[in-house]
Amino acid sequence: MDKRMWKNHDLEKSYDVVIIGAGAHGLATAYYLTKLGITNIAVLEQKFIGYGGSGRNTAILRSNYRTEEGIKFYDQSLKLYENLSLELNYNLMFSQQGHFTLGHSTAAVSGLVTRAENNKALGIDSYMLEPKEIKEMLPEIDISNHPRFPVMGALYHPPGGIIRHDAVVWAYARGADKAGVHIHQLTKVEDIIIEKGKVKGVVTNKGKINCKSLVSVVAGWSSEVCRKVGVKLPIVTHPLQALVTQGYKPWLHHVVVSGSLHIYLSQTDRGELVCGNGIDTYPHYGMRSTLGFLESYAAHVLELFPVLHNVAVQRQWAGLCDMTPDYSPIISSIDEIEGFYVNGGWGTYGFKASPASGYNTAQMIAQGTPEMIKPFRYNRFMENRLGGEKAAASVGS
Amino acid sequence: MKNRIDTHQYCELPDLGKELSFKFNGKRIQAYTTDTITSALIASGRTLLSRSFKYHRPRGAYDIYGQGHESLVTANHEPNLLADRILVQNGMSVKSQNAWPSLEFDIGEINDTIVPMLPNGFYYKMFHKPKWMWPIAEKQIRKAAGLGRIDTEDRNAERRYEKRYRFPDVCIVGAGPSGLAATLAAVQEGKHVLLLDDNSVLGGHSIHSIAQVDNCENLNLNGLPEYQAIQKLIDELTEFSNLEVLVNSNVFGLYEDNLIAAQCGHDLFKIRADSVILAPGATDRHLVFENNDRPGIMTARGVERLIMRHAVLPGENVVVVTTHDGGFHTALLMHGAGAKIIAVVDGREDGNNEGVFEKKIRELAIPVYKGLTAHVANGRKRIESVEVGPLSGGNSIKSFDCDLLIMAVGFKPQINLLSMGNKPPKWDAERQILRVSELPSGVFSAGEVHGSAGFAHLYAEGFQSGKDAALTKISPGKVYTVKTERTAEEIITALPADIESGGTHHFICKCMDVTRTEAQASIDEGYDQVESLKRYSSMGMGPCQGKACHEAVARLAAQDTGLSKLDAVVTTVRPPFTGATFGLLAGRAPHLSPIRRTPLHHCHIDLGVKFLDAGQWKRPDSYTAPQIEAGFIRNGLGMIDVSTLGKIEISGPEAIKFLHFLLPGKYAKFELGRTRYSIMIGEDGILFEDGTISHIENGIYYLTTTTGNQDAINSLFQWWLLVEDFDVQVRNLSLTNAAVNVTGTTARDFLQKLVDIDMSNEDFPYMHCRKTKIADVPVSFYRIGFTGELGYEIHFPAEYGESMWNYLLAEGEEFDLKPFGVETQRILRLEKGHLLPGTDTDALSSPYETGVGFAIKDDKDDFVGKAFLKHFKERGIENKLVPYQLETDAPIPDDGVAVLDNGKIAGRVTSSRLSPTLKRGIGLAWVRNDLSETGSHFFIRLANGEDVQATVLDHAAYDPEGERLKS
Repeated sequence: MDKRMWKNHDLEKSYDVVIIGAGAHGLATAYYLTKLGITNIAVLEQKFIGYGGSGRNTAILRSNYRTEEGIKFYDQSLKLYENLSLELNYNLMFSQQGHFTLGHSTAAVSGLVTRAENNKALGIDSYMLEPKEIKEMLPEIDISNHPRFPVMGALYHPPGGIIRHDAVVWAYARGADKAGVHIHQLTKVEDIIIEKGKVKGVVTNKGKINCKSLVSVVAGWSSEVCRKVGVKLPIVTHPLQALVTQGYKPWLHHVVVSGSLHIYLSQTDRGELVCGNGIDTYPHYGMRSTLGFLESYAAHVLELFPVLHNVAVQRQWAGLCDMTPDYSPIISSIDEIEGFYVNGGWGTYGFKASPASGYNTAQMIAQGTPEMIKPFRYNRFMENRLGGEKAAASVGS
Repeated sequence: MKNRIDTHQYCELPDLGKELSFKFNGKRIQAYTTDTITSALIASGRTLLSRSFKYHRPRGAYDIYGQGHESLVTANHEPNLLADRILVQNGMSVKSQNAWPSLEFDIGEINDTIVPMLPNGFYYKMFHKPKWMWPIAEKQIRKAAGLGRIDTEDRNAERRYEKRYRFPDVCIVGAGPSGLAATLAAVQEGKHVLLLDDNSVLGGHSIHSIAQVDNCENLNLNGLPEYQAIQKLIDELTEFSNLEVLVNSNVFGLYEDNLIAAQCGHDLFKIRADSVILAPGATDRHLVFENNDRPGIMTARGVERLIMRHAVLPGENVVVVTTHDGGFHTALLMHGAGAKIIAVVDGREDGNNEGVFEKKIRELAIPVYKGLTAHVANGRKRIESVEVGPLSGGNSIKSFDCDLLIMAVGFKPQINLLSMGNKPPKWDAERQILRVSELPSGVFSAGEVHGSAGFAHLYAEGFQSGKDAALTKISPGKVYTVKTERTAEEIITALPADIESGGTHHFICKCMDVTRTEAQASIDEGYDQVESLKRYSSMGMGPCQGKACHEAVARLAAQDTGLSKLDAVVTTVRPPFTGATFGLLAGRAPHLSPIRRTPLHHCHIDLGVKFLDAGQWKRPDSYTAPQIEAGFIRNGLGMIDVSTLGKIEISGPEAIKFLHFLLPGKYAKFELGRTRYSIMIGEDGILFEDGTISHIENGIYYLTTTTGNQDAINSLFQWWLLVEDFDVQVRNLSLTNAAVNVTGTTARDFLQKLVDIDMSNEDFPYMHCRKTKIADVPVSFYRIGFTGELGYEIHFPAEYGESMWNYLLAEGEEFDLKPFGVETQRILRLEKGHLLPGTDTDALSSPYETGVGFAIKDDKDDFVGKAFLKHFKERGIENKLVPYQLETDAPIPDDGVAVLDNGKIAGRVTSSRLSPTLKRGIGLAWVRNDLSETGSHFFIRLANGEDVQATVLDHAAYDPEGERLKS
């Protein structure tokens, strides 16, 4: 038996569907397409699978969004995640340990209350906690009035948690590979061939491929890929930095997010604290880490958990976030180019969407745009029909 | 101190300092002040120092440099400290980690037997079927996670962290022969030099060497053994006052613009230098063979360090495995310290390459075996024997009993800092190393980190780099590295074929316990891109971040994936180089967000105020209770500090044009002395601000903004000034002026007493402004109302803040003037149905739906947001912000709760309070348009799940016609 998770192939001359980007979304799209009977698929990856956002995020999953379209979409995603280990026969280590979003001002608490109530109305397990209740679950948190911005309440979301993010990528890759999908690593798209308003194929560093449908699933690089076909996305790309500490005996058993302090943290099953920030304020494509991030993260996290002062940072990195004006993704066909689809604009909330993103993108390609993702269509920007998640956006986890 | 020596046959031993003692796992250990925790423990006869992460295998000292995790301990409550680096202190308490019940007997070691029987990456392959299994399994896995314990009792430990800044001309990292020579060259040029080294003494590995120095361009040093030559060089440097030296300092990052970050004790040094010289040197290569992690296996430089720095002899019966003359040097040092050298096993074939020390070893009749390498180490808590055999693998052909196995199999450059310049390392086939030869502008590098060897060469390279760094003005983008031609003997020898497959305990990554077999299996499963391999197997992801193993990983990946060049298979180097704690990074200031106080702050304290946080500001919440204070205003007279409002003065020839462009209103007919309500919308057409604008002096317009937008709007104005080049002056008077609002039915009577202008309703009506004086202080009055009562906003220079407040309070005594706070004001404004941008609006609020469409005059030329407003107008009203009231006894909903219609979300409550005037709940809510009709009802879902009925109001709940504030 071939033990390989996914095979290497030579490029075929043509595929029915070409997916650019072998991250969690691209591979999930391929996987769910095969479930719909389309298997002649190539997934092209400029580096290695999971190189981009899929390998750089902080692996937090939740569905306690604010708007109806956001809640329903991420609820579908979370439910797919809950069954994914079984479905793909790969232990993704989904740890549904509960997710706190802390509020440090009356305005922030009011925003969290709105989320809690909207969540409840749509059947999501999500409710507010008082500082005293927070303290019972997070014994080391400082809820006194000593911190600069004291904890005034929290939105708690029991099914939220963390997952082994690389494993999600690998498991989808294997699932797709098994069903006949060709995954091509180290294959960079150099050009896209459009004739008479129709997608004809792509030119890569390894040669030309013909295809009928082409979908760009490249997150941080979306603007670059779409520019090749003259589609201008209303996306600004910002780096987002994260860090991981050395391993310590498990001490934190929930995901903690603080919007006002722009930080989030969780502890993995290996004992490391995985910590992230909001996006960097300046847009660019550089992924070099900064000392300023370490300093500000440290100052903020010690406000919440003074006990962490002698916990050591082990590694820091950055990823790219493709921010749309309304903090909602774009999953859409493009009117002007038949056969071309965009899946991007995932900002800081992409990883948690991977299964639903792939599932709905596959549906869109195979059967036409499903209801679920109509709010995320590209044309909403022309119609000034922006989604409402910006109203809830603080820090993206 | 069992293993301490007092004489050495070939060299002098160092001064060890004073005696002291500390505790390790509760047992007292004698030591000297120069000892690290590791050297003291080895001196006391201990070999077992820690347990490995996954298999809980016994681990001992390895390189005495702290690259691997084997030396991690908890010392004085601090977890995960490198025992190799930490100098002992008298009375210090040191504990081993990750062992239960004890370091000697650790139950976890059973994993060493069980795990190899499980499939590779078993945690990805098991425990997920059936579904209920994982939460149970995860609990057990979490129990085994991590190394040190975060000490929750230590939370009150006084913060003792400090940030320090240095701006030298030249910053030099590494104080080996290259770094010191560079330092000498730079200080001789008169430059201010900062030299950093992570050891407690200068000299790098030269202080461990007895090789004789010759051909060195610094003639003072020729003829001396290296350890004396380097001392002489250090002595030369002490004469320079333009040199600062920081020992025990871990340079952990090279960031943008060559910002250097270093940890020295509990201080974070942030260094910006004109030039940076990186001379971090190299460490011994890691050799992979069966049981290569057992206590008693050490690197050559680690052993040399123990002898020459600490006078500690780490073993008595010694086998050395080497591939270069350095191994023979180590053997000689061990011999001179009294150990028995059982054998030196040299990977090189017999030939003419015999070096100085090999000759000496042969003269001592110590057995030397050629063409062999280590195959297997036997023993558990300490090695007992080593089996050696051919480099190509196969059967081992000899076995030696020994208690110490020294590995001297070439050097691995410390490329991490160099690579943080954002250029990946490349494989240098000639030198057989991974090196970084492309550096950012202004960064120089020299020495062993580029594969150079030999004191004279290292000195020459370093000196040249120091001189160039001091004198050369590097043009942007030019890359510079020192390079010397090396003779054949100096080429650092290539690795032996150390990665033959098979065996379950050939450790590649000792931090994460990853074996050759596991790595191979991972590649076979398809994780053949090195980053995937790293992430799947977790090689290189432990505390040392691959410093010990990255080269072995790259070699493995290259070999097994058929790539000829190692640079295709190195993983990205990421900061920090050594662990940097949150306390260190945060520094003394726990939080960088300043507290902002109004000019009246201390008046409020004197009055016993309760403060609330409004962004960075401290504002009065209330002085008594908001519900009571509200009554004062409705029935009497109150005063509130509104100094936090943004106050922006706009003047100049194009002031009106500027306002027309930035605000949606029209200002062509803006009479002097008038005040208007104004809103601001973003370019996306979204309402984000409301305030007032007044024509206060001829051609001078005074705009007030909400507290939260004070800085943002000023920035926005400044930005537009740059973009559009208006002939306008914009002055931000937000902090220049203090302001109060005096409000209540008797406000006019009270203020008329203090001013000589006519305050009558006819002369100074609602929505007008005037300039005047109170107690000789120039003030401006704005007759506006947020509370619903007659009110005057009074702005005056901030320096009169406290005296004005106190004067007004004293003068107002006869009118029973009472101070009130922000929460009180929030209740009062809600009774009037006034919205608060940001509280009652969000990033989706169109001005039309918010109910302030009257303030937009879209029949004028282009203005900010115009294009999008068109869309909103065409779309019509879909949702609406409406005032509502509840039945008299209904509970008060929390801010933010949902509005429901037949179980579906139909809106949300943005502000909700008990109205003390109306004695019932009132508020503002966004509702679907079909629910927004005056008099219609909607349901608010309380947090406890109950619904309360609300009735939509036409206008304000209180004084709907606004008679009180206009009269």
